[in-house]
Amino acid sequence: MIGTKEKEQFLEQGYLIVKNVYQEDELKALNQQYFNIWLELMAAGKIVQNSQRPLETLYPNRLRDFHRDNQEITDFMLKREALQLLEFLLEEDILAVQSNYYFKPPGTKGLGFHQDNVHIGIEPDTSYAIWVSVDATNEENGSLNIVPGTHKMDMTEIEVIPGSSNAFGSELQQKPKGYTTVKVNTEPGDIVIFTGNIYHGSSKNKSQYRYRRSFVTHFARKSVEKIALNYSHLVDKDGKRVRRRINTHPKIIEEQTSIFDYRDATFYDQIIKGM
Amino acid sequence: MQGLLERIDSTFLQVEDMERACQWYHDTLGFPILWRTDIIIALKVGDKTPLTLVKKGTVPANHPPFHFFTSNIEKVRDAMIENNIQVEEIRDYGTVQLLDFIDSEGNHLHVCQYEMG
Repeated sequence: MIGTKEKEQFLEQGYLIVKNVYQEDELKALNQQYFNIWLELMAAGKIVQNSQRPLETLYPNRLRDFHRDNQEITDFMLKREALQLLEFLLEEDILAVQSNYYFKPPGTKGLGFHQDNVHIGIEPDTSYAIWVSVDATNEENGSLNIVPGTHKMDMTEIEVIPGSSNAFGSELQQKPKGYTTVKVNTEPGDIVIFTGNIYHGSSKNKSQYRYRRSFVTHFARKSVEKIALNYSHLVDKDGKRVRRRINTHPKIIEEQTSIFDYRDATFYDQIIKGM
Repeated sequence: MQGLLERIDSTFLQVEDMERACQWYHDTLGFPILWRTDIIIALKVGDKTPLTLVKKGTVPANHPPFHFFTSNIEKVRDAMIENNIQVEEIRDYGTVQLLDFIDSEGNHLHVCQYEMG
Protein backbone atom coordinates (compact mmCIF):
# COMPACT_ATOMS: atom_id res chain seq x y z
CA MET A 1 0.00 0.00 0.00
CA ILE A 2 2.95 2.33 0.67
CA GLY A 3 6.58 2.25 -0.44
CA THR A 4 9.85 4.15 -0.44
CA LYS A 5 8.29 7.35 -1.75
CA GLU A 6 5.77 7.45 1.10
CA LYS A 7 8.46 6.64 3.66
CA GLU A 8 10.57 9.53 2.40
CA GLN A 9 7.57 11.82 2.63
CA PHE A 10 6.89 10.69 6.20
CA LEU A 11 10.51 11.24 7.23
CA GLU A 12 10.60 14.66 5.59
CA GLN A 13 7.12 15.96 6.46
CA GLY A 14 6.41 14.11 9.72
CA TYR A 15 3.05 12.77 8.60
CA LEU A 16 1.48 10.56 5.94
CA ILE A 17 -2.10 10.09 4.70
CA VAL A 18 -3.06 6.56 3.62
CA LYS A 19 -6.42 6.12 1.95
CA ASN A 20 -9.01 3.37 2.57
CA VAL A 21 -7.32 1.45 5.38
CA TYR A 22 -10.56 0.79 7.28
CA GLN A 23 -13.77 -0.42 5.65
CA GLU A 24 -17.29 0.88 6.15
CA ASP A 25 -18.45 -2.11 8.19
CA GLU A 26 -15.48 -1.75 10.57
CA LEU A 27 -16.24 1.94 11.11
CA LYS A 28 -19.91 1.20 11.66
CA ALA A 29 -19.07 -1.46 14.26
CA LEU A 30 -16.68 0.91 16.06
CA ASN A 31 -19.32 3.64 16.17
CA GLN A 32 -21.79 1.18 17.66
CA GLN A 33 -19.35 0.28 20.45
CA TYR A 34 -18.80 3.91 21.38
CA PHE A 35 -22.48 4.74 21.14
CA ASN A 36 -23.10 1.98 23.69
CA ILE A 37 -20.35 3.33 25.97
CA TRP A 38 -21.74 6.84 25.69
CA LEU A 39 -25.22 5.59 26.51
CA GLU A 40 -23.90 3.79 29.60
CA LEU A 41 -22.13 6.96 30.75
CA MET A 42 -25.29 8.97 30.21
CA ALA A 43 -27.39 6.41 32.09
CA ALA A 44 -24.90 6.51 34.98
CA GLY A 45 -25.15 10.30 35.18
CA LYS A 46 -21.47 10.76 34.43
CA ILE A 47 -22.01 13.26 31.64
CA VAL A 48 -23.37 16.61 32.75
CA GLN A 49 -24.36 19.11 30.12
CA ASN A 50 -23.40 22.75 30.30
CA SER A 51 -26.47 24.77 29.28
CA GLN A 52 -24.15 27.34 27.69
CA ARG A 53 -22.77 24.69 25.29
CA PRO A 54 -25.47 21.99 25.28
CA LEU A 55 -24.56 19.96 22.19
CA GLU A 56 -20.80 20.09 22.67
CA THR A 57 -21.05 18.97 26.29
CA LEU A 58 -23.57 16.23 25.57
CA TYR A 59 -20.50 14.26 24.52
CA PRO A 60 -17.22 13.92 26.41
CA ASN A 61 -14.28 15.72 24.80
CA ARG A 62 -12.89 12.31 24.08
CA LEU A 63 -13.42 8.74 25.21
CA ARG A 64 -10.01 7.60 26.35
CA ASP A 65 -8.70 4.04 26.62
CA PHE A 66 -12.01 2.22 26.40
CA HIS A 67 -10.22 -0.42 24.35
CA ARG A 68 -8.99 -1.86 27.65
CA ASP A 69 -12.42 -3.25 28.48
CA ASN A 70 -13.60 -3.89 24.95
CA GLN A 71 -12.26 -6.56 22.60
CA GLU A 72 -13.93 -5.10 19.51
CA ILE A 73 -12.30 -1.73 20.04
CA THR A 74 -8.97 -3.46 20.72
CA ASP A 75 -9.29 -5.41 17.48
CA PHE A 76 -10.01 -2.19 15.59
CA MET A 77 -7.05 -0.47 17.24
CA LEU A 78 -4.69 -3.35 16.44
CA LYS A 79 -5.84 -3.99 12.86
CA ARG A 80 -2.86 -5.73 11.36
CA GLU A 81 -2.90 -3.86 8.03
CA ALA A 82 -2.82 -0.48 9.82
CA LEU A 83 -0.02 -1.45 12.19
CA GLN A 84 2.07 -2.85 9.34
CA LEU A 85 2.04 0.58 7.69
CA LEU A 86 3.58 2.23 10.76
CA GLU A 87 6.02 -0.64 11.25
CA PHE A 88 7.15 -0.25 7.64
CA LEU A 89 7.80 3.45 8.24
CA LEU A 90 9.69 2.84 11.49
CA GLU A 91 11.36 -0.42 10.47
CA GLU A 92 10.50 -1.74 13.91
CA ASP A 93 7.68 -3.48 15.80
CA ILE A 94 5.36 -1.20 17.73
CA LEU A 95 3.39 -1.14 20.99
CA ALA A 96 -0.02 0.49 21.46
CA VAL A 97 -0.06 3.17 24.16
CA GLN A 98 -3.47 4.82 24.26
CA SER A 99 -6.72 5.19 22.31
CA ASN A 100 -9.15 8.09 21.96
CA TYR A 101 -12.51 8.39 20.24
CA TYR A 102 -13.95 11.80 19.40
CA PHE A 103 -17.63 12.43 18.59
CA LYS A 104 -17.02 16.13 17.88
CA PRO A 105 -20.63 17.21 17.28
CA PRO A 106 -21.48 20.55 15.61
CA GLY A 107 -20.11 23.53 17.55
CA THR A 108 -17.30 21.57 19.24
CA LYS A 109 -14.07 23.44 19.74
CA GLY A 110 -10.91 22.70 17.82
CA LEU A 111 -7.72 21.52 19.49
CA GLY A 112 -4.89 24.02 19.69
CA PHE A 113 -1.41 23.20 18.51
CA HIS A 114 0.38 20.61 20.60
CA GLN A 115 3.05 17.92 20.46
CA ASP A 116 1.72 14.57 21.71
CA ASN A 117 4.93 13.39 23.32
CA VAL A 118 4.89 16.36 25.72
CA HIS A 119 2.31 14.34 27.67
CA ILE A 120 3.19 10.79 26.65
CA GLY A 121 6.82 11.11 27.68
CA ILE A 122 8.30 8.41 25.47
CA GLU A 123 12.09 8.09 25.63
CA PRO A 124 14.09 7.58 23.56
CA ASP A 125 12.57 8.88 20.30
CA THR A 126 8.89 9.88 20.38
CA SER A 127 5.31 8.60 20.03
CA TYR A 128 3.50 7.87 16.75
CA ALA A 129 -0.21 8.31 16.08
CA ILE A 130 -2.55 6.50 13.74
CA TRP A 131 -5.56 8.79 13.35
CA VAL A 132 -8.59 7.19 11.70
CA SER A 133 -11.11 9.32 9.87
CA VAL A 134 -14.43 7.79 10.91
CA ASP A 135 -16.50 10.48 9.21
CA ALA A 136 -15.41 12.53 6.22
CA THR A 137 -13.50 15.54 7.55
CA ASN A 138 -12.74 18.97 6.16
CA GLU A 139 -12.58 22.56 7.32
CA GLU A 140 -16.36 22.73 7.79
CA ASN A 141 -16.66 19.96 10.39
CA GLY A 142 -13.14 20.22 11.81
CA SER A 143 -10.04 19.30 9.87
CA LEU A 144 -6.89 17.84 11.30
CA ASN A 145 -4.32 20.65 11.07
CA ILE A 146 -0.68 19.67 10.77
CA VAL A 147 2.49 21.76 10.59
CA PRO A 148 4.86 19.77 8.32
CA GLY A 149 8.52 19.77 9.25
CA THR A 150 8.02 20.59 12.92
CA HIS A 151 8.53 16.90 13.80
CA LYS A 152 12.25 17.61 13.57
CA MET A 153 12.01 20.04 16.47
CA ASP A 154 12.46 19.22 20.13
CA MET A 155 9.48 19.51 22.44
CA THR A 156 8.90 23.14 23.29
CA GLU A 157 7.23 25.37 25.86
CA ILE A 158 3.61 24.93 26.96
CA GLU A 159 1.64 28.12 27.60
CA VAL A 160 -1.50 29.08 29.51
CA ILE A 161 -3.60 31.31 27.23
CA PRO A 162 -6.82 32.33 29.03
CA GLY A 163 -9.87 33.76 27.24
CA SER A 164 -13.63 33.77 26.94
CA SER A 165 -13.92 30.74 24.65
CA ASN A 166 -12.56 27.23 24.84
CA ALA A 167 -10.55 28.08 21.73
CA PHE A 168 -8.15 29.29 24.43
CA GLY A 169 -6.51 26.78 26.74
CA SER A 170 -4.20 25.78 29.56
CA GLU A 171 -1.69 23.78 27.54
CA LEU A 172 -1.21 25.43 24.17
CA GLN A 173 1.93 25.54 22.10
CA GLN A 174 2.81 28.39 19.78
CA LYS A 175 3.42 27.45 16.16
CA PRO A 176 7.10 27.98 15.36
CA LYS A 177 7.81 30.89 13.02
CA GLY A 178 8.31 30.13 9.35
CA TYR A 179 6.16 26.99 9.16
CA THR A 180 2.87 26.63 7.28
CA THR A 181 -0.22 24.78 8.50
CA VAL A 182 -1.77 22.09 6.28
CA LYS A 183 -5.50 21.45 6.67
CA VAL A 184 -6.00 17.75 5.98
CA ASN A 185 -9.19 16.56 4.27
CA THR A 186 -10.09 12.88 4.64
CA GLU A 187 -12.74 10.33 3.70
CA PRO A 188 -14.10 7.64 6.03
CA GLY A 189 -11.53 4.87 6.48
CA ASP A 190 -8.50 7.01 5.62
CA ILE A 191 -5.75 7.21 8.20
CA VAL A 192 -3.19 9.87 9.02
CA ILE A 193 0.07 8.73 10.60
CA PHE A 194 2.08 11.42 12.39
CA THR A 195 4.89 11.70 14.90
CA GLY A 196 4.66 12.75 18.55
CA ASN A 197 6.84 15.79 18.01
CA ILE A 198 4.92 17.31 15.11
CA TYR A 199 2.80 20.36 15.87
CA HIS A 200 -0.82 19.57 15.13
CA GLY A 201 -4.36 20.36 16.21
CA SER A 202 -7.82 20.61 14.70
CA SER A 203 -10.32 23.26 13.75
CA LYS A 204 -13.74 23.88 15.23
CA ASN A 205 -16.72 21.93 13.91
CA LYS A 206 -18.54 24.85 12.31
CA SER A 207 -21.14 22.69 10.56
CA GLN A 208 -24.76 22.60 11.54
CA TYR A 209 -25.47 18.89 11.28
CA ARG A 210 -22.22 16.98 10.71
CA TYR A 211 -20.38 15.09 13.45
CA ARG A 212 -16.66 14.65 12.99
CA ARG A 213 -15.94 11.28 14.56
CA SER A 214 -12.37 10.05 14.66
CA PHE A 215 -10.34 7.43 16.47
CA VAL A 216 -6.68 7.88 17.30
CA THR A 217 -4.18 5.48 18.82
CA HIS A 218 -0.75 6.48 20.04
CA PHE A 219 2.06 3.99 19.57
CA ALA A 220 5.66 3.57 20.67
CA ARG A 221 8.58 1.74 19.12
CA LYS A 222 9.01 -1.63 20.79
CA SER A 223 12.44 -0.41 21.90
CA VAL A 224 10.86 2.34 24.07
CA GLU A 225 12.58 2.48 27.44
CA LYS A 226 10.47 4.97 29.42
CA ILE A 227 6.94 6.38 29.26
CA ALA A 228 4.81 8.64 31.49
CA LEU A 229 2.79 6.84 34.16
CA ASN A 230 -0.53 7.98 32.75
CA TYR A 231 0.36 6.28 29.44
CA SER A 232 2.11 3.19 30.73
CA HIS A 233 -0.55 0.58 29.89
CA LEU A 234 1.26 -0.75 26.82
CA VAL A 235 0.08 -3.67 24.71
CA ASP A 236 1.78 -5.48 21.85
CA LYS A 237 0.25 -6.39 18.49
CA ASP A 238 -1.53 -9.36 20.04
CA GLY A 239 -3.02 -7.27 22.81
CA LYS A 240 -0.70 -8.64 25.49
CA ARG A 241 0.43 -6.32 28.25
CA VAL A 242 4.03 -5.10 27.99
CA ARG A 243 5.85 -3.20 30.73
CA ARG A 244 8.43 -0.45 30.52
CA ARG A 245 10.03 1.94 33.02
CA ILE A 246 8.11 5.05 34.10
CA ASN A 247 9.26 8.44 32.85
CA THR A 248 8.73 10.56 35.98
CA HIS A 249 9.57 13.78 34.15
CA PRO A 250 7.73 14.03 30.83
CA LYS A 251 7.87 17.53 29.32
CA ILE A 252 4.47 18.51 30.75
CA ILE A 253 5.67 17.93 34.32
CA GLU A 254 8.93 19.71 33.65
CA GLU A 255 6.97 22.73 32.39
CA GLN A 256 4.21 22.98 34.94
CA THR A 257 5.07 21.11 38.11
CA SER A 258 3.15 23.55 40.28
CA ILE A 259 -0.06 23.08 38.35
CA PHE A 260 -0.39 19.51 37.18
CA ASP A 261 -0.16 16.30 39.06
CA TYR A 262 -0.42 13.63 36.42
CA ARG A 263 0.07 10.85 38.95
CA ASP A 264 -3.42 11.64 40.17
CA ALA A 265 -4.99 12.01 36.76
CA THR A 266 -8.09 9.87 36.55
CA PHE A 267 -8.24 6.95 34.18
CA TYR A 268 -11.37 8.14 32.42
CA ASP A 269 -10.28 11.76 32.35
CA GLN A 270 -12.75 12.60 29.63
CA ILE A 271 -15.85 12.61 31.80
CA ILE A 272 -17.32 16.06 32.06
CA LYS A 273 -18.06 17.05 35.62
CA GLY A 274 -20.61 19.77 36.12
CA MET A 275 -19.23 22.27 33.64
CA MET B 1 -8.16 51.74 12.64
CA GLN B 2 -11.80 52.45 13.36
CA GLY B 3 -13.89 49.28 13.62
CA LEU B 4 -10.96 46.86 13.50
CA LEU B 5 -11.05 46.22 17.24
CA GLU B 6 -14.63 44.98 17.44
CA ARG B 7 -15.18 44.44 21.16
CA ILE B 8 -13.59 43.52 24.45
CA ASP B 9 -13.46 39.72 24.34
CA SER B 10 -12.93 39.20 28.05
CA THR B 11 -11.71 40.85 31.20
CA PHE B 12 -9.31 38.92 33.46
CA LEU B 13 -8.90 38.44 37.15
CA GLN B 14 -6.03 36.46 38.65
CA VAL B 15 -7.06 34.43 41.71
CA GLU B 16 -5.23 32.34 44.31
CA ASP B 17 -7.70 29.49 44.74
CA MET B 18 -9.66 28.38 41.67
CA GLU B 19 -12.21 26.24 43.48
CA ARG B 20 -12.91 28.92 46.07
CA ALA B 21 -13.19 31.59 43.36
CA CYS B 22 -15.41 29.35 41.25
CA GLN B 23 -17.78 28.82 44.15
CA TRP B 24 -17.89 32.54 44.90
CA TYR B 25 -18.41 33.80 41.35
CA HIS B 26 -20.52 30.91 40.07
CA ASP B 27 -22.54 29.92 43.14
CA THR B 28 -22.72 33.18 45.08
CA LEU B 29 -22.85 35.75 42.28
CA GLY B 30 -24.56 33.31 39.93
CA PHE B 31 -22.49 33.73 36.77
CA PRO B 32 -22.84 30.70 34.43
CA ILE B 33 -19.60 28.94 33.45
CA LEU B 34 -18.87 29.22 29.74
CA TRP B 35 -15.96 26.76 29.92
CA ARG B 36 -13.20 25.83 32.32
CA THR B 37 -9.98 24.00 32.96
CA ASP B 38 -8.13 23.55 36.26
CA ILE B 39 -6.61 27.01 35.91
CA ILE B 40 -9.00 28.98 33.68
CA ILE B 41 -12.72 29.64 34.29
CA ALA B 42 -14.66 31.86 31.86
CA LEU B 43 -17.90 33.25 33.25
CA LYS B 44 -20.88 34.69 31.42
CA VAL B 45 -21.81 38.09 32.84
CA GLY B 46 -25.16 39.03 31.36
CA ASP B 47 -24.99 39.38 27.59
CA LYS B 48 -21.92 41.58 27.59
CA THR B 49 -18.23 41.00 28.18
CA PRO B 50 -17.36 37.73 29.97
CA LEU B 51 -15.07 37.59 33.00
CA THR B 52 -12.22 35.09 32.90
CA LEU B 53 -10.60 33.89 36.13
CA VAL B 54 -7.06 32.59 35.85
CA LYS B 55 -4.91 31.01 38.53
CA LYS B 56 -2.28 33.38 39.81
CA GLY B 57 1.23 32.42 38.80
CA THR B 58 0.25 30.62 35.59
CA VAL B 59 0.40 33.72 33.40
CA PRO B 60 2.87 36.63 33.58
CA ALA B 61 2.14 39.09 36.38
CA ASN B 62 1.65 41.84 33.79
CA HIS B 63 -0.97 39.86 31.84
CA PRO B 64 -3.37 42.41 30.27
CA PRO B 65 -6.59 43.14 32.22
CA PHE B 66 -8.61 42.54 29.03
CA HIS B 67 -8.36 41.28 25.43
CA PHE B 68 -9.57 43.16 22.38
CA PHE B 69 -11.24 40.96 19.76
CA THR B 70 -10.84 41.21 16.01
CA SER B 71 -11.86 39.00 13.12
CA ASN B 72 -8.81 40.07 11.09
CA ILE B 73 -5.70 40.08 13.24
CA GLU B 74 -3.27 40.50 10.33
CA LYS B 75 -5.08 43.65 9.21
CA VAL B 76 -4.93 44.95 12.78
CA ARG B 77 -1.19 44.36 12.90
CA ASP B 78 -0.65 46.13 9.56
CA ALA B 79 -2.75 49.07 10.72
CA MET B 80 -0.86 49.30 14.02
CA ILE B 81 2.46 49.37 12.18
CA GLU B 82 1.11 52.15 9.94
CA ASN B 83 0.18 54.05 13.08
CA ASN B 84 3.66 53.57 14.58
CA ILE B 85 2.33 51.39 17.39
CA GLN B 86 4.87 49.05 18.96
CA VAL B 87 3.62 45.62 17.98
CA GLU B 88 5.01 42.07 18.04
CA GLU B 89 4.66 39.13 15.64
CA ILE B 90 1.29 37.33 15.74
CA ARG B 91 1.35 34.31 18.07
CA ASP B 92 -0.52 31.40 16.47
CA TYR B 93 -1.83 28.64 18.76
CA GLY B 94 -3.99 27.02 16.08
CA THR B 95 -7.40 27.72 17.59
CA VAL B 96 -6.51 31.23 18.73
CA GLN B 97 -4.12 33.96 17.61
CA LEU B 98 -2.75 36.73 19.83
CA LEU B 99 -1.11 40.03 19.02
CA ASP B 100 0.94 41.87 21.67
CA PHE B 101 1.20 45.63 21.49
CA ILE B 102 2.08 48.60 23.73
CA ASP B 103 -0.28 51.56 24.24
CA SER B 104 0.69 55.24 24.68
CA GLU B 105 1.05 54.67 28.46
CA GLY B 106 3.39 51.74 28.20
CA ASN B 107 0.69 49.15 28.97
CA HIS B 108 1.18 45.71 27.45
CA LEU B 109 -2.09 44.71 25.75
CA HIS B 110 -3.46 41.91 23.53
CA VAL B 111 -5.67 41.58 20.49
CA CYS B 112 -7.14 38.11 19.98
CA GLN B 113 -8.81 36.26 17.14
CA TYR B 114 -10.32 32.80 17.34
CA GLU B 115 -12.61 30.43 15.52
CA MET B 116 -16.22 31.55 15.79
CA GLY B 117 -19.17 29.27 15.01
